[in-house]
Amino acid sequence: MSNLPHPTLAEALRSLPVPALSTDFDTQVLAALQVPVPLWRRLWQTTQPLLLGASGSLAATLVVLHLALSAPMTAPSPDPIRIQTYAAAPLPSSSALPSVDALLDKPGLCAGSLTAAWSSPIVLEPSPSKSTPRRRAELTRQAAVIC
Amino acid sequence: MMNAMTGYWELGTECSSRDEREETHWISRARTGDEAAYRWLLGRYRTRVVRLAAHVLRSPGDAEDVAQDTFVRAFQQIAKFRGQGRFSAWLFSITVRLCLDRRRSASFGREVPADAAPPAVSVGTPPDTRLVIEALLDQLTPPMRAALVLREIEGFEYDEISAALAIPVGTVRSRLHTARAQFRALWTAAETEANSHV
Repeated sequence: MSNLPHPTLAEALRSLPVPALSTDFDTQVLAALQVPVPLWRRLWQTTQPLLLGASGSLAATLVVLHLALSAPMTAPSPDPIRIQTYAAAPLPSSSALPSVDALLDKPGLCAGSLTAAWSSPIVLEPSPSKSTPRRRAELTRQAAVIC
Repeated sequence: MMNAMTGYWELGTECSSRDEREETHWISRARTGDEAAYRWLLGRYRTRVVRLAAHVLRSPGDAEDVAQDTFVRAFQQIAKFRGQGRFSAWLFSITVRLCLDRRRSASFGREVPADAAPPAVSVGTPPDTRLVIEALLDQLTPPMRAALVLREIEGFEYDEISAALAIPVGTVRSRLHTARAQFRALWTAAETEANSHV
């Protein structure tokens, strides 16, 4: 075997020549840096966030508009249950309400007298229009007398 | 003696930190587009970038083009360099990326297979270091050549090479070990051939 010591890898790599550079290396680099940026690119960079936001909002608007136009154009029908409820509600008869004159004639009249009177529970009288059994019997008796 | 060595070390450290401070100063000026700063950085790194590109590409003509592209790109994107690592590591990573891109896009010839013949040597003379190392570089892939240059010439740490080449540290370590073994084998083969002709 040989007795020659082999160089280290680093020494061997350093022994390789570095390619000669052109004299205007730096000038070319600096000239490349001074190439003006095109106007459209500068405009795009400036307005990019605004345009992206506007396009996103336009897309969202179009989607909502499409959904709104494709929905059926019918007016909402009134709630029959609510109407029946209102119709069935009995109105208090005028005799059930306390007499205003009687209240005003009371000696200890104060500001809350009328309020207290109106807030007291109202006992409803049976409606005359309703055909209860007693009413029906009375009407039958009157009809018999007439006949 | 000890004092002299300590003094030398301190001097070296002081010079190094002064260099770093100076470089940081010029980099911050380059961020503002200062041409003088560009020139300073070009003067400092021009040769090293070209050498790296030449070794990775194995083509001196293309090395200069890649080196110019490296500096143009580095100066355009210098705001992205935050100073976490060395500027040279960042710059060389750009160089390696451009070299690999160029090799991918251009119709370069295939790599010489790993079992290539040992380098030719003159009969009866010791093997030529340059021929041996060129034979070694021809056997390696471009990323491996970059790793070799960054480690052996630039003195980069394994993690810096790993970051520059975007490969794991373990891979860098094992491949560099393989490259050194290949170099020794090539050297021994060249020596044996030279002695056999004596």
